[in-house]
Amino acid sequence: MTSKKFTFAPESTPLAGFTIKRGIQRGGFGEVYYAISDGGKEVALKLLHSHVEIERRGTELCLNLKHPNLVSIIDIRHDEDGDTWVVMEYVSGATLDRVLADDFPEGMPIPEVRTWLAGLAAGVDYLHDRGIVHRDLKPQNIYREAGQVKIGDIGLSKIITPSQRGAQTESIGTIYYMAPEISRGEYGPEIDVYSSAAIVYELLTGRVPFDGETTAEILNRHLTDQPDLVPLPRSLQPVLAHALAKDPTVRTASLGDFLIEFDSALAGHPPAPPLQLPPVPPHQHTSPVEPSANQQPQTVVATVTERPSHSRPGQPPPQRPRIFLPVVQHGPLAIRNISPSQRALEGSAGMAAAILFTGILTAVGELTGMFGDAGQNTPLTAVAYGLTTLIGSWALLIGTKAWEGTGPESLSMRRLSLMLLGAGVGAAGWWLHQVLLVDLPPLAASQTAGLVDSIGSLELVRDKQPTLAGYMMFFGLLFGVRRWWWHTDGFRPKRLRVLSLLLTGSVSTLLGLAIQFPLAAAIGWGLGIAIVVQLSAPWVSPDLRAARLHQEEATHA
Amino acid sequence: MPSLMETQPMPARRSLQPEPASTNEDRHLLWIDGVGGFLLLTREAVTIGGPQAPDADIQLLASLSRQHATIHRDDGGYLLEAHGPTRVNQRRVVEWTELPDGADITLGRTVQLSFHRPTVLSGSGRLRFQSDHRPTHSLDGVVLVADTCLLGPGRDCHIRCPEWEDSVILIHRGGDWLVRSPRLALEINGKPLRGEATIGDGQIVTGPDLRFHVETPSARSSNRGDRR
Repeated sequence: MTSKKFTFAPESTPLAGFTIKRGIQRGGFGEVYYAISDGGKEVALKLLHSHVEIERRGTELCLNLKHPNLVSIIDIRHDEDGDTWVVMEYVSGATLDRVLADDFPEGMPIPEVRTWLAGLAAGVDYLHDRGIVHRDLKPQNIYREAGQVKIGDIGLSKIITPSQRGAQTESIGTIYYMAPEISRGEYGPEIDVYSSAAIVYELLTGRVPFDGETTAEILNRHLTDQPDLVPLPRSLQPVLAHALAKDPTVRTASLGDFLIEFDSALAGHPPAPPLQLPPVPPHQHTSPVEPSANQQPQTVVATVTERPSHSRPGQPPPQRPRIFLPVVQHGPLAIRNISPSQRALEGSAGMAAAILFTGILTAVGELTGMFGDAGQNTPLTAVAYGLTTLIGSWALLIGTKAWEGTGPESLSMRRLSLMLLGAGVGAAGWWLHQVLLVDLPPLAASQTAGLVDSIGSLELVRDKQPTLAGYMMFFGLLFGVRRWWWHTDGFRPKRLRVLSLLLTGSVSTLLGLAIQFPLAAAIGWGLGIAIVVQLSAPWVSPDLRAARLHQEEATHA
Repeated sequence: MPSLMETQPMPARRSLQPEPASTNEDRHLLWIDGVGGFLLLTREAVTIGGPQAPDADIQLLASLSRQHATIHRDDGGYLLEAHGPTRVNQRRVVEWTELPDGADITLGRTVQLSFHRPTVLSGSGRLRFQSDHRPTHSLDGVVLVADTCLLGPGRDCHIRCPEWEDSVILIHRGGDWLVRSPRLALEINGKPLRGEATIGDGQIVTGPDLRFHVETPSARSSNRGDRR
C-alpha cells in the first residue's frame, strides 16, 4: 500500500502563496494538503488528479455556497504547471469515521447521533434546495469542529464508473452508503437521503447496514437485501426502514423529514402521515432508464436537478413524479459482457463436471440394471451409453456457452446449429456402438410402425437397430427441438428444472416413436443429456446476478 | 472543603518562579501526513497562557491570563501549578496538584484539555485539546517530551497514527531529534536509515505509508508557528 505517498514535500510551495505543511489524505480523486498562506491562513489544498474538468465544473457550481454545515470552498487556482488546485476551508475536527472508530465502536448514544444527523440534515437540505446533489456522503466526509457538523467534499463528488466500482478501493468507502438506484444511473437528491440513513444506521449500531466480502456483493445487497433492523432501537426501526427504502419514490423525501421522523419516533408518537396533496405537475424530469441490462451510470458531478426547493421541515413533502423503471432482465436472454476467457473457463468447468455427472448417471444405471441383464455385454452397453451421453452433453455445453449473454437474436440460427451438432453426436454414437459391438435394446413389437422409417432410400432402421442415419436423425432433432441454451445459461431460473426434464423426456419419447428409435434408448439419452447438461453448466444464483452483471461490465470496461 | 483536600503545600525545593521564557530549541512542530500537526515541547516546565502571552509555551486563543498554568515534569510524574482559575478532574486547584494519566484539565471557564501518559516506558506526556480552543493554528495536540515520543498505531503511543504498520520512536537527545523504528524501514531524505539517526533541519522522514518532519519555528512569534 503506497496510498500515503504524496506528490509534494512538506515546506514546498507548488501553488504560489501557500506553504504545504503536511498531507491530509490521498485517493484516486486527488491529494489534499494542509497548507498555510503567506498571510498565515490555514487552508486545505486539493490538487485535482483525474477528471479535472468535471471536478472543476462541479466545484465552480458550489464555489460561492455558504452554509455553517458545509466546508466552504475558498477558490480554484492554477499553478505554474497548469495543475488545478481547490483551496478549501481547513476543518480541524475529527472526521465522523474516526470518532466512530475511536470513541464509539459499538455505536453512539442517541443524542450524539441526533447532533450529527441534525447538522447533516441542515447542510444537505441546503444543498438540495440549491439544486445540488452531494452524491458522496460518507463518514469520512463529515467533520465536527467546535461543535459544528461540517460536510466536506462539496462539488467534488467522485466519478463513479462501473470500472471504478469494481476495481478501485478508493471508492470502497462510498459503496457502503450508495443508494441502489445509482446502479441504474440515477442521481436524484434521494441518494443523499439513502446515504445519510446508512450513516445514521452505522452511528446507531457501529455497523454499516450492508457489508460484504466484495464490492459486488455489497452493491448487490443494496439492491436486493432488506436492512437488518433488529440491532436498532425499536422506535427507530420504521424510521430507518423508510429512509433506506430501495425505491426512491417511496423513500423519506428529505433529510429534514428524516429528522422529524427521527424525533417523533423518539418522542414516542409516530410522525403524522404525509398530507395528501393534489398532484403537482412534475418539475423534475428524471428520464426513465433505457431498458438495457448493461447500463452504465453516467459520470456527472454535483448533479443539478431542475426540481425547485422541496420539503423543508414543517412542510408537507411535494408529490413526486413517479419513475417507472423497467425490470432489469436477469434471465437467460440477458445481454451480458462475458469475456472470452470467462466463457472458456465456464465452458471447461461445465465439461469437467459433465464427466463426473455422466459417470454417476451411468453407474447408477448400471447398478440398477437399466442396461438390461442380457449377458456379458452389459458393461460395454453402459460404456457406450455413457460416452454418447457425454459427447452429447459436451456438444451442447460448448455450443450454447458460445451464445450465452448475446441476447435474443438469431434463435433459429441457434436451432439449426444445434441440429447439425446433434447429427454429429448421433454419428459419434453410432460409431461407438459399432466399435464396441453393442446393440441398443431392440425395437419393441409395439414400435414397429413409426411415422418415418426411411428418408428416401436411406433406411433409419435395419434389423430392429437404428442405422447411422437413424442416430443422426434422432440426435439432430433432439438437439434442434429443445431450447438447450436455456438449460445451460448461467442465468437460467433454476439449476435443475424438473419440468424441463419431463418435457425433454416427452420430446424424446415422441421422437423415438416418430422415427422408430428404440424408446428406452431415446428416453435414456434425452433425459440423461438433459440432466447432465443442467447439473454441469455453471449457474449464478438469482440474487448474485446483478452483481455478476456489474462485474462483467467492469471487466469489460 | 473537599477541594482543599486535593491541594497540598508546594514542596519547598520546588521553585514557584517560572523558568525563563522558552527558546526556539524547546519548541518544535511535528507534521505527520494523514495524521496532523503537533507541538513538541521539551522543557521540564511548560506554561499555558492566553493571546496576550507571546512567551507562553502553549499560547491559546482563549480567555486565559498571561500565565494561567504551568505543567512541571518531576521525577517521572507531572504536576500542574495553577496561576489562574483551574480545575483538574472537576476539583479546583489552589496551588498545585498532581496530574494523573487521563486527567481532565479545565482552565478558566471554557478551556478543556486532557492529559495522558499512554505508556510507562516513557516519561513523556500528551495534552489533547478537548474544547475547540487552539493556538492560532489548528494543532492536533501537544507532546511534553521527556526523552522519547512514540508515534504509531497503538493506544500506547503519544501520537496515534492509526494507519501505520508499526511504531516509530522520536528521541530528543542533546538538543537533537533522533529517529528509529524497531521494525519499519525508514529513510531520511531518501537515504535508508540504519539503527538510529539524527533528523537534520528540514529533513523528511519517510517509511512504508508514512511521512513526517520536525520543524523548528524560525520566529518566536508563532505558536501558529511556521511561516517563513
